Amino acid sequence: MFILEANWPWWFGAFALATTCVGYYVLIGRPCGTSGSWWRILNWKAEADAVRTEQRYAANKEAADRELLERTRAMIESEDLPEEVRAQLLAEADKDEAAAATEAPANPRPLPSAELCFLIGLGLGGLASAVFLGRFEFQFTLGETHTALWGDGVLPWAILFVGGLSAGFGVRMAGGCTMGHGLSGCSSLQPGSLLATACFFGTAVGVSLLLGVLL
Amino acid sequence: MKPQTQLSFHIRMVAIGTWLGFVLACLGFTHYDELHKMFVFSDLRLLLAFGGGMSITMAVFAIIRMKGLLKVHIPIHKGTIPGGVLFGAGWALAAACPAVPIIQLGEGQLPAIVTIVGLVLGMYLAAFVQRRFLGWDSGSCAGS
Repeated sequence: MFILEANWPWWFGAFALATTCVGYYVLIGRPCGTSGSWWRILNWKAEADAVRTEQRYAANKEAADRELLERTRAMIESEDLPEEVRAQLLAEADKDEAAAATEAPANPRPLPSAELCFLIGLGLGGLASAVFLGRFEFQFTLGETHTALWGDGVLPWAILFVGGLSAGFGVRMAGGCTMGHGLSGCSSLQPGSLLATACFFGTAVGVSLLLGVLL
Repeated sequence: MKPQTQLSFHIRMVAIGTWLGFVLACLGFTHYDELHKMFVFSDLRLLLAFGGGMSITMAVFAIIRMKGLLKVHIPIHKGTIPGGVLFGAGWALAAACPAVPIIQLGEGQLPAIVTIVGLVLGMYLAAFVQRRFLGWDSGSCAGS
């Protein structure tokens, strides 16, 4: 039975990958993105505060919107402004009020503790897979190809560190990773995700082909 | 909106994380040998799985969007191209897609610890450089 063997066939993998992406959306209520999860964990305190604020706002949206607009209007009235500027600002406040009345509160992002649960789940999934496929063992290399490319001394470890550093810097700068941009973003045809995916996939192909030539 | 502090939300996060980790590991996305074969096109299995998964997800998301749900907007910004290139290089060198090293660790691939240290430092460094020297912040993954 192919499910019990490593390296699932592509068609089954395609279905399985789709269930992870759609499943995340159904269970969590927002598109999946692992680099976002990482970032919310690394910024624990600020993120937890922001989520609580979002939750409080979502729970009292109407009153909060009203209060905010009242204060904005009071500020516009009290400032020493030319009359036409004042009228324009007040008109904009009216427009904001109309827009706020119709928009639904956004789905608050997950708490850092929930994101940590997600990352712990990833590790558990890896463990489950290794046990399921009967191949769990502690390994000190990333496999034959990596060892063939970089040898078995300190170099492969240094490459992993540099690779991790570059990828961490890149996902933060591009605002997403294989999951967020690649699977979720591209399947919603988001321009930023399509370009980012083309860039990271193209570079990965280029670097890998280059490694094949050089090493 | 129910508060997220409740236990069930955290359990759902563990469950979907476990499923994602299981699928990526069984597929071979966490194995450098398999990943490298995809990047040099000597085996199209992972590429087809990724493309197929994306197509199915696209169809499902299209239906969800027709119902007025799933409002995401991910525009192109200054960090999209340089960030994508740096990530791609790291992915090719260390299989360092942010989910992968954690799954590798679960599978017993111990070198992933070094990749994780690199990833975390890289994310902090990018945030620092963007704030301090570039004056912009590109946010994080989809929908945040």
